[in-house]
Amino acid sequence: MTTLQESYFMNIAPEPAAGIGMCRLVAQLDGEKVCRIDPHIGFSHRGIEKLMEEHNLLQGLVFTDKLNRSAPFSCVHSLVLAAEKLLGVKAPKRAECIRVILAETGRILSHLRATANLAADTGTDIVYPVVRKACQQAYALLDTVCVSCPPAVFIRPGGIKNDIAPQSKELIFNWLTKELPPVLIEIEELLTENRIFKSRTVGIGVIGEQDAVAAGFSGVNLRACGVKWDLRISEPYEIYDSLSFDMPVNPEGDCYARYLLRIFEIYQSMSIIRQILEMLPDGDVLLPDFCMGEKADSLTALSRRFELYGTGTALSAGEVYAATESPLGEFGVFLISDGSEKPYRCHFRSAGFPVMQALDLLTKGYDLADVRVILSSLNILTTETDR
Amino acid sequence: MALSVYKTQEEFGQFVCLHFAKQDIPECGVVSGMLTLRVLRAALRRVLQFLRDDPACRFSQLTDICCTHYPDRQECFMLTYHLLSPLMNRRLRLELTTEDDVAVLSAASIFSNAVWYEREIREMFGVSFEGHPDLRRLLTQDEIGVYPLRKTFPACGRQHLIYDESKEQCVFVRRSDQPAGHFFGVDLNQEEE
Repeated sequence: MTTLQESYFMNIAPEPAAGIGMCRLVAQLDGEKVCRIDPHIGFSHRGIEKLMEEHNLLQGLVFTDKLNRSAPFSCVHSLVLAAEKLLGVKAPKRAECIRVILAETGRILSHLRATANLAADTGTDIVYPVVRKACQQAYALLDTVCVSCPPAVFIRPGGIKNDIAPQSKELIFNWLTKELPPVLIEIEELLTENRIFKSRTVGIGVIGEQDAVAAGFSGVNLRACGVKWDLRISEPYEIYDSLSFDMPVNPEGDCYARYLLRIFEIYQSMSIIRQILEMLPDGDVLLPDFCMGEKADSLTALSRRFELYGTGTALSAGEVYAATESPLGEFGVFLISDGSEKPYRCHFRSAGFPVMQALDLLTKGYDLADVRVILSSLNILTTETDR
Repeated sequence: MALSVYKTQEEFGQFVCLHFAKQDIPECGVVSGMLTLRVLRAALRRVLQFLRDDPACRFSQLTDICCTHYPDRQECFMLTYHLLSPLMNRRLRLELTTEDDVAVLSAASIFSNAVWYEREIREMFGVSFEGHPDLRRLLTQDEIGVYPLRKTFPACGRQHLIYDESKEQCVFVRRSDQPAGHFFGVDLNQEEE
């Protein structure tokens, strides 16, 4: 082991791993071994928390959706739940079911992308085209299901914007039974028992159970260390408590464990969507107070519409924390309101922020070439980390 | 999942309060479904240490630290710590207030991930932390020199970058020198104190 004087520094930038976004890592290296890593983040900082204070909630939804580009609906979901908690309303049952379908679809998309990125960083670009095709099918499906409504404003306080298209049920069933399984089988054939893939991921980036909890890990990254913690089961929101699914954990804590859990969770999400489609109730999808109305034919309806779009719904004063199990981990929204339409303070607890901070701990002692693999196995997005 | 003896959040709050003097935790109650403790600045580290290590609490994860600016108040910053106990399936919120020039004890020695949260609060609000290992800026560039998330700072910023043809370089100009002096209802000519 050489002394610290003999070590040298290296900049790893602008995109240290495939698909995570802009960030810079200053690595202190001893030969090929990593002694210390200092992540410099903030290249995708857009001041969304400040912008949230200047806009009403409906406008704020659009900013929030831009945090996580790989999983539509995931960030908005937390904000909507926080707002509903503050307003003291509960969305209709049908809307809740549809929200869960959309959230799980987002989870599938995000996990597929994370897997492709991990594969690319271990040297197999061949997973990209497979995943790209699957994602295109899914986005086309979401477009039909949401009746061409952009994902950012589809989920909103009080329910969802409009009912899903009448043929959605068949389309989603078709996607789940015919289109997605071959993609997953192909990915698994390419990666799970692949010797090169395993040699790059097994035993790499290991973190222990207690370290991971103390470092603020959540989601797949935490479950891959053997901690039984899933917000969908531990603190059920929406209709998750009436669904039957289990919480897989993997005590290994390495990159391969995180990959296996992601693949498993895709299957789990498929089963959740299937369960909901079977029990999808009829009824309204938006509470009347938040309804814009089909068309503004009377003066009252017109002024109501104007009020909802222009000024927004007034929030009740108070503070609330709501978190959902987003594909990247626990995404929380801490919302403080003084009773006006605009939030007084809206703070996002991003899932990637503490994980990025623990990168030093995760990469210490591994090779420089492993940094990429570790980083992409954690599924960090700098847009979500920097806010 | 281990079950705690303290069934309700109120009971648990009383249990925590019993371990500290009355002035250390002046307020304790359930706010919008989460147990909230108002903590004295000087007692922060003791309370955090107790909550992390006590076998009935086991708050092993610091989920988040958030700061809020209330310009009208004497103690104008409110820090909110969210703690999570995966073992007991319980969340808790700690609140403390601080002034502009008074340093808050850093939580970094108890929760390792507090380092970045406190760095972010320091750069966005200007709250200083005592005993913090590393107070560099995290999300913005070093030359910015303002605290962007304070309520006294306008969302559009005080300066903007234009290309000055006479100097043949980009220069910063104050927003108030521009024709649109008002933006988002904030008077930009107002100086930050």
